[in-house]
Amino acid sequence: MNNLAGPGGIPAGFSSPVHDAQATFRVLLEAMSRPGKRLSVPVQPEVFHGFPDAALSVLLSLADFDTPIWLSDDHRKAVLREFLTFHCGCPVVEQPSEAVFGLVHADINPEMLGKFNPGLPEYPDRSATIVVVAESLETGNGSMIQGPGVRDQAVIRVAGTLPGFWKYVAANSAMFPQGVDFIFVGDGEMVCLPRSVMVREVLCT
Amino acid sequence: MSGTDKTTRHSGDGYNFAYLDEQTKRMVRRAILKAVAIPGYQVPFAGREMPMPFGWGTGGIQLTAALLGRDDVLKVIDQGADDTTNAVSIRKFFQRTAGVRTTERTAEATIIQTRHRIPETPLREDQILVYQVPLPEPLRWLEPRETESRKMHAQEEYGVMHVKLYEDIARHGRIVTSFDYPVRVAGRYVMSPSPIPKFDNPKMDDCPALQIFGAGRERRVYAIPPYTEVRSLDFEDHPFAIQRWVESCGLCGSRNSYLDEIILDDRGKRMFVCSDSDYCRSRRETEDSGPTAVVPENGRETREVKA
Repeated sequence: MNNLAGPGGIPAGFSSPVHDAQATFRVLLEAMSRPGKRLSVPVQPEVFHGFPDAALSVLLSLADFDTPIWLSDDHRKAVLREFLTFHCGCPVVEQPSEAVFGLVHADINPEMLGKFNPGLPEYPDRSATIVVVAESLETGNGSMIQGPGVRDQAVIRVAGTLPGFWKYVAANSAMFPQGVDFIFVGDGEMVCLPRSVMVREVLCT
Repeated sequence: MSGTDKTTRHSGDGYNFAYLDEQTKRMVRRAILKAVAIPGYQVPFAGREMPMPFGWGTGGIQLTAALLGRDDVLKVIDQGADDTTNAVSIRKFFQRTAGVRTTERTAEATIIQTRHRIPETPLREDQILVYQVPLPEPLRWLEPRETESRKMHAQEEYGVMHVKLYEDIARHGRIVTSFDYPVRVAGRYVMSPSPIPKFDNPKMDDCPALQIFGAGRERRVYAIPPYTEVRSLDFEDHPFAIQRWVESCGLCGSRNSYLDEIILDDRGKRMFVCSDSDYCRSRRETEDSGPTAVVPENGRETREVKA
C-alpha cells in the first residue's frame, strides 16, 4: 500500500496509465454498446477508503483538461478534488450545466439531473456524461430497457436510486437525440445507459 | 501463409503505444462513446495528422489506435483483401507502433479495420469492425452547406434523399446506386455506410459486433451499436435489393459472396473471384471445392464477353 502516498498525500492513479486506461475504456465501450450488460471494472486505483474507486477508473481514462467536471455534495471533498485535479487536470465547476462529466451518488435528487447539459439539436454530442456511484448494481430501483445494443430487452438496477431518478431517465430518453448518458458503477462493476435506449417500464422495489 | 503473423517489432522507443498520445486517445475515446450513444450521428472529433495522407484510412487508424490493447488481434482489409497496399501498410503500422498480433483470419481477429467491405464470415459479439470513411455526410451531394445538412439531420428532414433515389428510378427504371447506399440507423439518423457495396448493407442490420466509422479528412466518427436496426432506404414498389451474379467464384466456387471481375487476357476473357480473400481461402482449405476448383470449369467461372 506504499503507492497510497503520492505527492502531497494524493493517492496514486493507474499504475500503468496507458494500458490501464485502454483496458478500462474497452470495458466502457462494451458497456455503452450493450446497455444493461454488467461488466467488471478491470483496473481500480488504490485510493483512500470512501473514495469511489471504480468511478475514478472511469474518470482517469476519460477526463482531462478539456472536460470540466461537476461533483455532487457527497463527493465535494478537498482530497477528491485534489485527486482529479492532479491526475486528470480537469476543472471542477460549480454548475452542472457547465460540466462534461458529472460524478454523483445514486441517491441524488433527480431534479439535479435535469440541470446537466443535454447538447443541442444540431450537436447532441455536446452533452454531459454522468457517472453514478452506487453500492450495488444488482438490487434497487431500476428499469426495463429496449433499444440499440439491447437484444430483446434488459434490466438495469441501481441500489439507492429514487423512483424519480428513473422517471428522469425515461424523460431523458424521450428527448433523443439530445440527452445525457449514464455510467453506473458499484461493487466493482459498471453498467451504461445511453440516451438511445427506451425505458419500457420503471421497476420499483 | 501462416494465419497469424509473428510480432516482429514492439513499440517503446520513440512512440507511445499505438502511435497516438494519451490526450488524443482520450479525446477520440470520448467521441466514440458519444457516437455509440447516438447511433448514426456523426460526432466531430479533433482528428490528428497521421503519418500517411488523407484517403489512406487516417480516420479508421485513429479509431483503431484508440481501441487497441496489447491482447488484441488486428485484421486489416482493403476491398476485402488482406494483401493489398492499404491493408498491408496499416497492418505494418500497428505491428511497429503497438506490437499487437495481426491475422488474416476473420474468425481470429478482435478488431477488424476495413476499407469498403464487410467480411463474408459473420461477425461475433467480441469483435469490433472499424470502417475507413472518405465522405461521412450522406447529404453532402444534395446539400453542400454543413450548417444546412446539420439542420436537416436535427429536424429529421430526409425527403431529399428519397428524391435522389427516385431520380434513379425515373432515369433508369431502378435504383442504380450500388455502393455507399444510404441507410437509416435505429429509425432516426440517415447514415453513409462508407463506400461498401450495397451487397454488404444487410450485414449491418442486427449485427452482433459493434461497428464504428472514422473519417480522417472530415474529422467525424459515428457508430452502429450491436443488434441495431439498419435499414437501407427504398420504396414500397422498388424495394432494396443487393447485387447478384450469374457466375460463381472461379477459385472456391462460392455463389454467395461478393465477386470481383478479373480480366485474364486481351481477348475479353474474364474470371470472377471472391473479393473477401480470407473467406475464399478458408473455403478452398476446408470444403470439397479444394484445389481442383482453382482451375475454372469451362463456361461456368470464365466467360467470353462480346465486345
